[in-house]
Amino acid sequence: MLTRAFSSDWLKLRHTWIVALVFLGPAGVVGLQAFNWGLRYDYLTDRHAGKLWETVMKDIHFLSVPALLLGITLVASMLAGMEHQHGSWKQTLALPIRRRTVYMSKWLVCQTLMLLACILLMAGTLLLGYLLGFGTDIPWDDLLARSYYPWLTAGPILALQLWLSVSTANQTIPLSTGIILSIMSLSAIDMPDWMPLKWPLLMKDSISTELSIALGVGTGLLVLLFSIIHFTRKDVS
Amino acid sequence: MKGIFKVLRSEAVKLRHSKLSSLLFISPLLSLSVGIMYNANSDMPWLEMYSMMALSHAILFLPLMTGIIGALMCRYEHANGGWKQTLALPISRTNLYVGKFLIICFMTFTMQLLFFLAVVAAGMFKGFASPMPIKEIATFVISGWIATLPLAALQLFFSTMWASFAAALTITVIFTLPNLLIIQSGDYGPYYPWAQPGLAMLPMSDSSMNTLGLNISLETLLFVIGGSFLVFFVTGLLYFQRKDVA
Amino acid sequence: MNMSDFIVQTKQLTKTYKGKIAVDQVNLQIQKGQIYGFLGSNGAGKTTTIRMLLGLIQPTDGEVHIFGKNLKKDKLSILRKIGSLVEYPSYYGHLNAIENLETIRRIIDVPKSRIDEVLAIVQLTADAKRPVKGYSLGMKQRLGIAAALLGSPELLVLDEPTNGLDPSGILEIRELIKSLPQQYGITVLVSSHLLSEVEQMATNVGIIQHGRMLFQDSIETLVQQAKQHIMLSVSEPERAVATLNAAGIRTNLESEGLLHCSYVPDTKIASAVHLLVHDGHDIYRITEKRESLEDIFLAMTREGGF
Repeated sequence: MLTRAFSSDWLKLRHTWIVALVFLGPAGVVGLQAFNWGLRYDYLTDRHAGKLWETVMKDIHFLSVPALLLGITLVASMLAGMEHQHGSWKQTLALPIRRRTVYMSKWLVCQTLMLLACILLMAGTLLLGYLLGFGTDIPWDDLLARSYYPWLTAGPILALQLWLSVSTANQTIPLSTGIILSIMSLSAIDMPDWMPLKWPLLMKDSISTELSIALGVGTGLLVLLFSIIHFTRKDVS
Repeated sequence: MKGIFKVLRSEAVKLRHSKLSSLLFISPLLSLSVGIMYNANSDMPWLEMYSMMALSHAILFLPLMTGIIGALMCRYEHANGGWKQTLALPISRTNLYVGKFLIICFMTFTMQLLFFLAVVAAGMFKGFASPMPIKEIATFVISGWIATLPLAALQLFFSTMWASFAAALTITVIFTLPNLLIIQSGDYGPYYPWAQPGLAMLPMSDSSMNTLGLNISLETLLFVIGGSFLVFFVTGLLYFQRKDVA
Repeated sequence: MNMSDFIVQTKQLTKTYKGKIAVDQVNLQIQKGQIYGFLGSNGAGKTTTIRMLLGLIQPTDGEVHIFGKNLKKDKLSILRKIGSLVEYPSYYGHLNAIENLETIRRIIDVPKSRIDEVLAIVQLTADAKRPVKGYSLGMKQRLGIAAALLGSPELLVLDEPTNGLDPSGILEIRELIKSLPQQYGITVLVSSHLLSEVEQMATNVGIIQHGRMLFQDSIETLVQQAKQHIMLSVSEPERAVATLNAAGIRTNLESEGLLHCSYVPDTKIASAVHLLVHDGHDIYRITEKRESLEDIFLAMTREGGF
């Protein structure tokens, strides 16, 4: 049943900007760093000689976390918004399908789109490093970690944003919340370790990467569980 | 002029009960907490603390909030077929457009005022010995406000064009995020409209106050801010005057 | 009557919103093959009741049984056999009609050919490949009905299906609804705030006002409630009234010298005519005036019941 709901939700993405956004996000992040490195090529390659790949990955990671959070905010809001806009919740929920399946499917679509964005980001990173002539000595561990761990650790934010977006037709609150969270993530380095915003930064000095992933995935599923309970009991107008 | 006042009064009613005004408090409050938590250790504690507070406010929040407010300006009209009602009123579209633009300006100005108060409050909480450099900080705040005007004009254009709040907002986000990098660039920053609030509000090493007493160089003010404002505003207005209403 | 004879049965169904009663102890009963007209003015509680039938909102009190099963326990198997259109059509504006129906088809898993069939039924085939946001209200309404029919339901719930349609569109939808029980054995619940509309297609009627069910029976019974009136036009009205009343036939003198006897059997009319002719009156005209359903409906909703 979940696969059917998922394929139905996937169909709804047609002719929307959502898919474009998934491409634009990584392209924007990589593009900005391409500018940054392209314009100051000599200075930066000189300064970071010997750890060029690591540095460009770090630079991309610095931008990709707020971009990912903003992407989550926008995509979650657009996914819920098209159901709110012309009263489609009442049509969907009058179909022979469990409410939890309907909700899980939306969550899954959102997660898939973000994963897609992260895959594109990784591909973009590789392309950029190659074009900048950093050679083939790619630190794969670092690349995989910086590309996919933010996706895993952003679970709580994604679940929260989806819940906020689905709960009210007025998208002002979810969008504002998401934007504020994204901006706050820029100063998350100074936050205590238990703050979910800090987990996607993968600071190795405080809690271990494994722990932040476990925390991210765990908390994300917990928030998802609570939002499903809320959604199944909600009156639909 | 009379028409614009009518628009302003009517818009004010529409904004009642909307949560828009609470949005204005977010960034000043966050900045206040930044200011209170920050321990200044230079001989100019006010300016040092101000710089920390202005960092996230000016680079990201100010352009983003200008975008959110602008995107919300036409929500009522898009949501419940309000365009056909509003545009059928005996009021020129120019007046309506200018009126809506003035509301955005008023909102961003209020937010700047609240930010200024947050700086005053944080400084008083800290109990700095030296007197507050009121004139300098006020200049930064007003310069920042002027730098948002082109963004407000562009956002109003998008807001009238697209029914989707998310679409209008996405544009803001896409253009604001590069600020993180561009603002550091002395070569390109001054030409990027979204970086202007940040550049105008952050104290730069060379104190570049211009003859008008703003923290914006005259060239930037005229060509970048003034130019982009004119282009965005006139484009939006021309579009709005020709817009077919469904 | 046995409970399982009803396709839809609610027991003391109640919904309150913040202490305000929207639906008050409604016992709705619909049998197989009926076209049940659910009648009430705007805000009477029709849509709230329908939302509860579909499990979109939880009743504050009472139960819903559909196809003999409790909605609370067997929601999915019940919903599998229901098609619905609630209040206004739901759609995704950026998708075309085929894609809109496909989003539903992927969930209810019916053959793809069904999409063409339902589009043909509601006559949207020609416009099926345009984005729905460009549709007229009537076309969106027809798309909503197509969506409701997609799963070949046994029970069709249509909330104000002719809203926003032009006269020919209303006629089409009405004929379509009327054909469903005969052709496919579908039971239909159709709500409306217009009696004339329900009158033209329903076999049974439920009238709701302020959340309470005022009347529920066959349309014939409702018609019989309509009282008959006889109007007489005679040469000397005042004297005629006196004559008839003296003979025990209750008569009033209306404006313009018309005599009015309410709800009299044929035999009484015959003797009244005989009496008047015998008394030397000229009888110009005898007309029967029946109370229209609209009058009954208004009287019912005004009084809050009989």
